[in-house]
Formats: sequence, C-alpha cells, structure tokens
Amino acid sequence: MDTALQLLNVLLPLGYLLAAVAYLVVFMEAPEWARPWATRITVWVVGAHVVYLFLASLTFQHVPVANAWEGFTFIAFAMAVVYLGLEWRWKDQATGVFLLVPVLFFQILSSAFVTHTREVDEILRSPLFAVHVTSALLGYVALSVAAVYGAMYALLYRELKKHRVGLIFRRMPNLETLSRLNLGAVLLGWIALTLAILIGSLWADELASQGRLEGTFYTDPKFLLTVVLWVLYGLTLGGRYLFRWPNRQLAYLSMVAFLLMVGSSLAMTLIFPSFHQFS
Amino acid sequence: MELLVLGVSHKTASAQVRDEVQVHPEEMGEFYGRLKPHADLIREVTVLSTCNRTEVYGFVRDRAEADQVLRELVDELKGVSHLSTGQFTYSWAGRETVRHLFRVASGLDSLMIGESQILGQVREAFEVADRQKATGALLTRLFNSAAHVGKRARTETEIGRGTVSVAHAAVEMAQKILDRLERYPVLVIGAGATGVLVARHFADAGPRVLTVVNRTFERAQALADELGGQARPWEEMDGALVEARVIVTATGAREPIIDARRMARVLKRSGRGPKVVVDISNPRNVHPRVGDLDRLFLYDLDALESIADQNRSRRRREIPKVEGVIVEEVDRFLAWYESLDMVPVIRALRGRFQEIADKELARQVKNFDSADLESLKEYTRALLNKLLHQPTTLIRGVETSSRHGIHKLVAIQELFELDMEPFQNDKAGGRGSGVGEEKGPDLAEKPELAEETGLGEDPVPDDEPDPKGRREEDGREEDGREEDRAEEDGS
Repeated sequence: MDTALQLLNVLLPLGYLLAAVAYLVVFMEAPEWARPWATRITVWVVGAHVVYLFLASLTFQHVPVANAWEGFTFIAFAMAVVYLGLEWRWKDQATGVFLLVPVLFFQILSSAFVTHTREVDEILRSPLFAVHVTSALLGYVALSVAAVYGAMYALLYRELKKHRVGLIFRRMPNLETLSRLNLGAVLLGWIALTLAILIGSLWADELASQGRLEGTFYTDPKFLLTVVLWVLYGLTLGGRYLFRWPNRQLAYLSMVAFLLMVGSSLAMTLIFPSFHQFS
Repeated sequence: MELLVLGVSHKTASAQVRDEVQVHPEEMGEFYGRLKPHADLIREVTVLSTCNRTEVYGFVRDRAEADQVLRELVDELKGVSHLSTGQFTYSWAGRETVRHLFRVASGLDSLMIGESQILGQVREAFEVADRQKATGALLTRLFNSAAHVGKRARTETEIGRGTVSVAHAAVEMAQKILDRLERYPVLVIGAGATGVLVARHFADAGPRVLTVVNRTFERAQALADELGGQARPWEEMDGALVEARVIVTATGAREPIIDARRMARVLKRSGRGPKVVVDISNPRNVHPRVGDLDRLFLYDLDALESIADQNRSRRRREIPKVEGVIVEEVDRFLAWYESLDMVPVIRALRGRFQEIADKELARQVKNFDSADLESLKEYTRALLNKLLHQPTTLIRGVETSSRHGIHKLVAIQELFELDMEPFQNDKAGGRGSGVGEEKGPDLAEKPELAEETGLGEDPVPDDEPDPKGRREEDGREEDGREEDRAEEDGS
C-alpha cells in the first residue's frame, strides 16, 4: 500500500499539471474536440486523488490532515472537486486554468514535502472528524474559489464599463456566468461551513461530556472565527436573495470576506492557542 | 500553361463600377457557356463575383490572349467596357495568382479585414464553376487549398475575431454581459432607419421578446411586425424599460429622453441583473451619466466605434501571421503543381518500385551467398526496367499542358501512392508553367537524372517561367493594410 501511495504522490502533481495545461489550451480557445479532454483529465486525476486519500486514511487510520503537508493535498483535492462541480453546473471551462493552477501548486507542495503522521490524537481517528474536517475544508476552499470568481467578475465589469475589448474581454466568460459561478461557490462554501459547524459542535459537546475535551469549544478562537465568517457570508447571501443586492456587491464581498478569512486565520493561529491542534 | 486572375475589386473600383461588372448567379450559366468555344485557350476557369469584387481565375494556354478574351467576355455579358479599357482592373499570373486567391480567402483582401463571408463565397464560386464543368484538377486543387487557407487563417490567428461593425459591436457587448440573449427582453426606442439595423441584429439573436416603442405608434407597429416583435405606446416606455435587459435607443429627439434619475428609478424596479443600453442616436438619447449607474452598461456611438476600432487594430496586428500561413500554403501548392510534371512522376514511380524491390532483396539476403546476391540484384534491376518501360513511355507521352494530361498524372500519383516530396524539391525539368519561380535543372547538366528517368534523349519542355507574375498598371495601388471603415460585413 505504501508503494501505491508513493506512486500516487508522484502521479498526482503530474496529473494536475496535465489538467492545468489542458485548461490553458481551452482558455486559449482550443478546437471543439479538445474541450472535453480538459474535463476528462481532471475527472481522472480527481478519481486518482480519491484513491490516494482513501489509501492514506486506511494506512494511517485517520483522515490525512494531521499536518500542513497532508492538509495541502486535501485543499488541492477539495478545490478540484469544487471546480468540477461548478463547471458541471454552469458548463463553463474558460475559468478552469485559474483554479487548476492553485490546485497544482498545493499538490506540488504536498507531494514534495509530505510526511504522514502516524501517531495522532485518538480524536482524529473518529469518522465524525472525517466528515467535520472534510466539510470545513471544502467550505473554506469553496469560499476561496468564490473570491477568485469575484475578482474575475470585478475585472471584467471594469473592462466593460470602460469599453475595452482586450484579452480579459475575449477570454473570460460573460459577466452573468461569472456572477453565477461566484454565487454558486459562496453558496457551496456556506453550506459546507454550516455542516462543519453543526457536526463540530455536536461532536465537541459529546467529547466534552465524555471528558475527552478540555475547555469549551465555543470560546475556541478558530471556532469563533469560523462562526463570524459563516455569519458574514450568510448575511451576504441573505442580502443577495432577500434584498436583491446586485451581483457586483456579492463579488466584492466575497473577495473582502476571503481576505478577512486568510488574515484572521493566520493571526489566530499565530496568536491564540486553540484546541484545533491535534498532533 | 499559366495560371492567371484578372478582376475588379473595392481597391480598384467604385461601388458603381463593381455593381456594373458583377456577374450575378443567374448570369453564370451564360458566362461559362460563352467560354466554351475558347476551351482550347482557357482550359479551366472560375468566376468569383461578389458585391466587392469580380475576379476570373483561369488556367490558360496563353496568358495575353486569354486575358484579352476574358475581359471581352465579361464586358460583353455586362454591356460595359470597364475590363477592356483596363481602367479599374488588375491582373496577376503564376505564383501571384495563387497568393492573391489565398489572401482573398483568408479575408486579407476584404473591405473589412478578416471578414468570414468571403470564404463561403470562394467555395460557392468554385462549386458553380464545377457544376458548369469549367474546372479541372488544377483549379480544384487551387480552390480547395484556398478554402484550407481561409480556415487556417481563422483558426490559427485572430484575424476574424472581434466584430468590426458598429451594429455587431452592440450585440457582442450585450453577449459579453448577459449569458444568453434569447432569455431576455429587448426594447427598441424609436423606429427610424438608424435603429433598424441594430434592432435587426438583436432580433437575429432571438430575444425572448422584442418590444418597439415610438412616438408614432403605427411606425412602432410596422417595425415590430418586420422584426417579429410587439409594439407598445410611447406612454408605456417606463414599464418597457423596467422589463427589458437590452435597450436600443434611436430616436430623432434633440435632447436626451433618458437621464440618470429616470434610469435609476427604472433600475430600482428591475431585477438584480445588469442592463445594456445601446444609444445609436445623434444627438444622444441617453444622458452620459446613465453610464455611471451600477449594473448598467451604456454604449453610445463613440463607444461602439471605439470598440470596432480596437478590433480592427487587433486584426491588423494579425496580418503578418496570416501572411505566414499564406506563404506556407502557396509553397505547398506550388510544390504539388511542380509534381505534375512527367519527370518527377517518373522518378517517384521508379523510386516506389525500387523501394519495394530493395525491401524484398533485404529479406532474401540470408538465403544467398554474395555472388548469387549480385546476380539477384542484377536480375531485379533488369526486371524493374522491363516492368517500368511501358508505364514510363506512357507517362512521357502525357501532354502536361492539357486538362486530361494533368488528370492522368494525378491519377498515377494516387494509384501508386507516390511520395512526390523528394522529387519536387529538385524541380527536375520544371513545368515552365509560370507558376513556380525557379526553373528546374537542365538534364544535360545532370546526366544522372536523365539516366534515372529514361528521358536523357528527349529534351524536357523548358518554357521560360514567369518568375513572379505580373501586375498590370491599370489599377489603383493595392494595400492590404488600407484603413477599412465600412460598417457592414460582406464582400
């Protein structure tokens, strides 16, 4: 099994490289017959990634997110899945290269430096943890993807207002499609975060009652930050659906929220201790 | 035998002259019919006639004579003397004919650089000529190559990207903002001639509903009927503005009829999606401040002209790339053309048989000692000479200047799957057709060629090729980079 893991660890970045190149070709307006190949390659690589994560979970008896390098491959995987979902829903391939490049980046980082942690806290071996951490990562990744689409929307909006028909105008999908991709990613991220918070809270309660968790989870900085972000994105979605906020506002808000998410996560990790540390 | 083109185009003649010499589809039969008595002189011919050009491509026995006959025939048919006087015409021969057709097919010679309509017109012109049995192997290959060049130019470069027409630019901008025009209502305000053109482009995109509003309801109704839409009274304009996602204004009003305050109210009542406002009136119907509103994209005539200009500039930047494709394809065509001479065909045929014999000998080497092997080689050589004697004699008898002769050579190449490339480069005994620029080596100077082809005793036709074709000085100066300002596609 170790050999299979090592082999996949080498093949995954190569596969994502191929996928990124395929989407780059699509972005440069590939012939019609070449377009499905970008999606096919990505689906195959994501399939291989599922096998890799499954094998790693079996081998090490925990979801492979016990250290940063393991986390990076999970982020790459989640980002590729989110992109494929959005592409399938909105039938747009023009933005693939913008997301497959970060996917490739995270996977290269992981493949180059990964060391699997064999000895981990018992909590990490729980199936609930797998669901909790998967949905949390998926949520954060989807919100990051939303920020990318938000930025693309803002760029194209500016070009259209200024009557410029340059490279951005020619290569990007239309404004409404970008808006839908942005909204779809925010929605997916928010739902995934909701699931992560719910499962995490219930599970933490149970662990606390069993005396396996020190302190109270609702004062944990990472938990609080996630809730704040969840509320922020929730308000944004509410504004979009209930008060008909224009699409541009959602695009800008998703970028601002993403910066807040990254900045505060770094600050929290560096400054405050959290029970979200298991190894 | 020579290739030639003569014609009249937007670069050499006014629209009136072009109209007068245009050979319409219903006249084609008569034109090709009139050419039949000259079949010995004009072996193959195709007429390309559009609103921007009328050109005759020919594969002819004598260029000067054919040129004269073709001019007279077109003039007689059209009852004019424009071609005979040569005042508005141009003509090319040999390589330049090939290059010219490839430039036409790729849109470099069009009024609007890179327009795509011309490629279909080139294909259609050939099909018409073919139906009239006026074409042969040479023009078939030439026009097929032209179609290939046109396709390559549009797929490998950006020569055809981005509209250069103001009316199209409005639709293109709307399509970059709204995902599918057919989902949304379009509103046209004003029923004047200026608005009709843009409105028609939007109607072609098939919007969910197209509404026309005009001060005179009857005119709104008439335009709506023409475009397959609905008319609404002037008083209902605000309601129509709220519903529409694309608004085209083209009234004769002297003051703006839509200001920022009015449009802000409309936006409040509309959905959250963006709106596109196209103002093609002069003076403007929509106040420029409207463009500052969030999720509203305003394009007036200046903006649309600037967009079309950006696209024109980008197309012009693509010209060198297209020229590169053309040079490549001209060379390929000429290489094929050179291969139609009897000498390279004989050499390729012998090469093909020798290749088979060598392979068989290589397989048998282990079964013979060296003395026997030499005998076997000698025997094989003799057998090949015997086998190829009759075909070689037949090929030598082919009249390469005739349509049938060319067909025969093409058929031999296809029958034996001959790889002509190594033999074209040598251009042994060039056709002297006026197509290629170089003359092949003299067999007297290359005895090995004479021996190889069995042609040593008979001199190879050695007509002097027309090195670069000739441009008559009767037309206006051609310049592919000429500023194109037309708003409507079509060639």
